[in-house]
Amino acid sequence: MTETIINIKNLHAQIDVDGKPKEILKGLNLEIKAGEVHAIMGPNGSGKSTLSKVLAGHPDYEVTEGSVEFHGKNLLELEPDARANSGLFLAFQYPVEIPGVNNLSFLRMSYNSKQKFLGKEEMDPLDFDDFIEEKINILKMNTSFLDRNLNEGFSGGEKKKNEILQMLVLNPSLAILDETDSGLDIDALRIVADGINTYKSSKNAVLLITHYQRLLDYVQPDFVHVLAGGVIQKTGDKNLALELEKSGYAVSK
Amino acid sequence: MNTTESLELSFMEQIARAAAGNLSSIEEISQAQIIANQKLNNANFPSKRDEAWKYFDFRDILDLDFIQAPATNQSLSQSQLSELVDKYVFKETSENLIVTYNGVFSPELSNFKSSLEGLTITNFNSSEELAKNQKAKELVKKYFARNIKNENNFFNLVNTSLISNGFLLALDDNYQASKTIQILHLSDKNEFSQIRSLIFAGKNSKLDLLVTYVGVKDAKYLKNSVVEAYLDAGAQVKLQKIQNESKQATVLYNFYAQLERDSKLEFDSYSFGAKSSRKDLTVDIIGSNAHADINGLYVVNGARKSHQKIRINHLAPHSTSNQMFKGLLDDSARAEFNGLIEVAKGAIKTDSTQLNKNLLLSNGAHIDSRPQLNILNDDVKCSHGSTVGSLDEEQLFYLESRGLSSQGARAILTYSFCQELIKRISIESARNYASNLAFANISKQEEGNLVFSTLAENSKFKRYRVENVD
Repeated sequence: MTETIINIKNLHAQIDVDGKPKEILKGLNLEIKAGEVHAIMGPNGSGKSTLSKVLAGHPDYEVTEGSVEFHGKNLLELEPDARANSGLFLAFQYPVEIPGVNNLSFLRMSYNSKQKFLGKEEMDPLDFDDFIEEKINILKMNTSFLDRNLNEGFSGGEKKKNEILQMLVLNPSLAILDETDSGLDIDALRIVADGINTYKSSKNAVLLITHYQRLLDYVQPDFVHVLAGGVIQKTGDKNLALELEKSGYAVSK
Repeated sequence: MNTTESLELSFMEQIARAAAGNLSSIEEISQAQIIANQKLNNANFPSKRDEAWKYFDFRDILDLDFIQAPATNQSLSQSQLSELVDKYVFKETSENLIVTYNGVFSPELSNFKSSLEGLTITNFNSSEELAKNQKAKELVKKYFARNIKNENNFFNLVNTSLISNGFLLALDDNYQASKTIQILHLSDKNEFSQIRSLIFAGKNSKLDLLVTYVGVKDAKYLKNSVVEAYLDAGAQVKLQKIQNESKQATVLYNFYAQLERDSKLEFDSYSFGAKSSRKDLTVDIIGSNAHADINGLYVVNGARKSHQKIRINHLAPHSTSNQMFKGLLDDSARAEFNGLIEVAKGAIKTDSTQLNKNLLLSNGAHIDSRPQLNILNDDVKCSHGSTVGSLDEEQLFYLESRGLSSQGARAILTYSFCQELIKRISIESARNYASNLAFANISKQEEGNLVFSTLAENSKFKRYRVENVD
């Protein structure tokens, strides 16, 4: 039987807006199994980014009801770092700049945090150079990227590629990509898609959050969900994305 | 009379007594001393009632019991001195190293391989030295304590009155220092010492100076430094100062600079040590098209204090200045930023910015930030501001979502905060030195230490391999 990677049941989550709680997720259900690619589409403000942040453990969001099991364990009681080290990865819609912090050192620290968490041996700088070179070649990035500071002064496209590089380094069991395709030109989109396709295997899963069908031309989804009003309104195969592209979100009603 | 008053009085009396017996044999110096002595005679010991000293804790000066005792010299042995030099020299500056010992240039401890042609280095408060060096004599006459008539800083005046040795570094016109020169000021006079430096940069000369002050570890002392820097037309001077004094010491640092037309001064100060440190920085821009960059990073923890008082006077048209001061405060540390930009009448087209950013890592830390502008003129562009805050939540979340612990993420962001200024340091090993000192002042957790030492390695892709091939 194929392993369930994440199982989200009746998830309700809220955030404070001007001191008042506002419910964004209103009973969301989603199960993702190993080897699957899911795409979530939906109008602005439907809760797509909220879902990704709630799963990654953003402190601004409060889960009021429901459960999330990740590899059979309660995800919601874990701190963000433990979630990451357990295999959950979120590629940010707006990656944050950390000035003055060397990208290569950061990537190695991040990798070694996971190794340490899993009780595995940490990688030294020499071995890490070889390891990272292989990953960076997949994304056709120049190695000078590594000597720059974490996202500092990166273009929008460079930031998104750097997110995918981090995904390849951490090799998560679930990669949630929050609008990684937006702001990418067609060449960068292809490269990012290549990165995702290199990563995905029968043992892991991908959750793509996107506004556009075009990424799905390169990364074939097994399921397409329409998220609206804080719940999954409709689920279909990749043809649903094509339909949405043509007719808009009215089809989901 | 309460204890404080009696201590103040005793301090003043001792200064007056010492000053009376300390008149220099060099007329140009003694003239300034006489003015300083008169000013001190009419002055009261500074107090919190003075705007400039409002936040200063005078117990850090008066409680030091050596005030009552005459200064003694600890006299480090030659081998101890050499050891200290080895410890504090940077590999990039090992052949461009000037060492002073208790304020006197020490040729034995220095290692200066570049030609001295075009450079004057001497003890300027020595009639013997000045007799040998006409250039030094002229410079002292023209520049020593040039601003004494306007000078009202008590400790600046004390330094002039009690001057012992004077370190002169002068560049001839057009002298271009190609490499960073390190000046290592070693001192083992542990009680109340006066350190005096005079820097002169001739027309179109260029100098990149890294100044490190080293005192005896964990010793209690009061160090009172005055540095004067004069930049002639077109001169470019970079002066970077890393302060790592004993955590029991009180350190007063007075800097005065005068900028002629088209000159450029970059002054970057990095303060990590001292129980209480205070910087009084004054820059007079007297020539048009001159530029001053005045920056500082102060990192304090425990119950230590750091004060920065900056005054930039735009006295000529078309001049520019930027100030960026950043403070990192932990535990119950206190810091003060008091910066004033003054644009004089006629200084049109002045362009000046001033920013003070503070990061408080603990609820007990305290900052008083006062950015100020005084503009007596239209047609200028000035901006100023200050921020006080804690670590950015979005940045923390980003790092934690990459598997880094909360402690590790905090360490990374703290490092990041300091780097904006540390990255300005010209040479890499000094950048690492400063990074390590910054973190030594705040870290408590092992995890943070690990992160910081990893970042301070300043990794480069395949660098280790390339170095091995060499």
